[in-house]
Amino acid sequence: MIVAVIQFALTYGVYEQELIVAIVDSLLSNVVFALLGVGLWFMIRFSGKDIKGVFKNIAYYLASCAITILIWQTISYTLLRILFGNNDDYVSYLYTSMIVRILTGVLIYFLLISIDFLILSFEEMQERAEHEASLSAMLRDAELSMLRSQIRPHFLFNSLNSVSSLTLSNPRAAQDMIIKLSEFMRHSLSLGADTMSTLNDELYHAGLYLDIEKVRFSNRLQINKQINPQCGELMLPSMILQPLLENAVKHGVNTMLTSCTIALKADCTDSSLIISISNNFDPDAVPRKGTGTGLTNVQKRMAAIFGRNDLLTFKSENEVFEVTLLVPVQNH
Amino acid sequence: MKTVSTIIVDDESLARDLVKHYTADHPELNVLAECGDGFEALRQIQTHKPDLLFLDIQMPKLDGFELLEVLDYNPAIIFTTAFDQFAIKAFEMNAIDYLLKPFSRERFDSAVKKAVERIGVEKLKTDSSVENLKENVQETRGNLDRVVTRLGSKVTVIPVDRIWYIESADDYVMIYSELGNHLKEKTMKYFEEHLPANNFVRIHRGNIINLSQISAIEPYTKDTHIVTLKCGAKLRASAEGYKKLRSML
Repeated sequence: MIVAVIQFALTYGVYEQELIVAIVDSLLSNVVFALLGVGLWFMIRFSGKDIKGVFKNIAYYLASCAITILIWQTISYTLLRILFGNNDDYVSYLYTSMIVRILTGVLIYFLLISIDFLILSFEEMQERAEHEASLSAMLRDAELSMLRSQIRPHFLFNSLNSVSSLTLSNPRAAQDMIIKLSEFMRHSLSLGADTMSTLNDELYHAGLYLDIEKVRFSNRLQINKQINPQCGELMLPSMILQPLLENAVKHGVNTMLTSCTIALKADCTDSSLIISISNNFDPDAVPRKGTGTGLTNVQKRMAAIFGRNDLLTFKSENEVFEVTLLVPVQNH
Repeated sequence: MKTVSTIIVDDESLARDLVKHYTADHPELNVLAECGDGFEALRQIQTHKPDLLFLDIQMPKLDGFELLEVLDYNPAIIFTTAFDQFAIKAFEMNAIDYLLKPFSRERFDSAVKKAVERIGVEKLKTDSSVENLKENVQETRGNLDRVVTRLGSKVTVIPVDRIWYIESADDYVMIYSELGNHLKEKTMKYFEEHLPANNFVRIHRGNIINLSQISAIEPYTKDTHIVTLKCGAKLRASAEGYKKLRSML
């Protein structure tokens, strides 16, 4: 619009063309450019981001600039010639002003491109903010579900019932169990969703949990640990193993009449810490409701922290279910 | 003194020990057996016919409710459970008592007192309370995920997704499944209400089918269709049944 007004002023004032001619000229050329501008907008939106490299980018925009100007001038020139071809004064003005028009066109082209890019990056910023908001919402969810998994009523009350029983038959063991249970609960209550701990720390608390379950289930539960001691100081999200272990107990010990072995392995490479938890299960057991929520929560939490969805994998073969957790090593 | 015979059913040995220990103070209780799982419990209960059961709910293979479902004999029940909202609801209507773990000696004593009184009164009556209890349990448990059947001493647990179709047979239904054909004393209405509604549809008064088992549907008479299942069974769908079926496919 502004350009149209300026052009009109110049055409009318400086070059002393007829009023009506000046208005039509300025409106027409600018409407044509505006239409091309819409095209440019879509061009940038859908292909601009895909072009890699500075030179390619420059070449791309120069070429599109040339094409745009060419199309613009051809269309407006032709239309103006058709409209005012008999006005010789105007036609000569059209010729002389061609170079100015083209230069202005180039200017406006780059102005438009810049505005388009501004809008685009503003949109991107908004998108990123939205993405971040959804991430933090997911983190909150994960935190909530972790809290839920901490206060697992079945585990807590059954353990307390075992303690109650032990106070009668074996007070020493009862005391031992109370201390382990307290230590485990204290640890799990003190953590947030984004807290990180060392592998040693996590294994210690996983050990407490398994010891408690071992007291409950006695010889129905066997525990087998293979830990590479060199990985002990690597960091992982706190209590991330807990839902996996609970899952192993739930689908292993809780479905079997015979003994269930839970194997806990940890190893590491330069880039990641690899932890696997496996349990054998009864293939005839019918999966009960709620299967998989524990795993999904772990996956969500890992994705919220590391931005990757492929860190938790699981497989089930030969009546053994195994989950493998890959924790990227973070450099501090 | 008249004694009350009892069996303790719990998959955790320490939990059984505790109940056993508490019963030692009750000379009127005679503990016949302790069982660590539902199948063992079923055998012991059928053999001993106890008056009273201390019954845990969460157990491997066959849980407390499923055990009750396949018993053809109705003892008095005291549930012992850590946390089970369904048990609590179910109890509120019919069980003698429920003990939330961990429970005190006093709490245990009062449950036993109630049981002894009730058994003294009702011993000779056919006990309808367990029947009601079973009904209520299913009312509050929502969709079935497996069905337990029993033939003689053989108990079969059928996951609902392995059921092909169900056919009415007088007071029973016949369940056709990957695990064979099993008779169950339940109504079609019960299965219609409790099987997952997105997988099962009642196509006729006499048949409920598993949608994933359909291999073909052909028109038969003016109003009816014939549904062929993967197992080969050809079942008739009424006009209404066909409408339901079509809306789900």
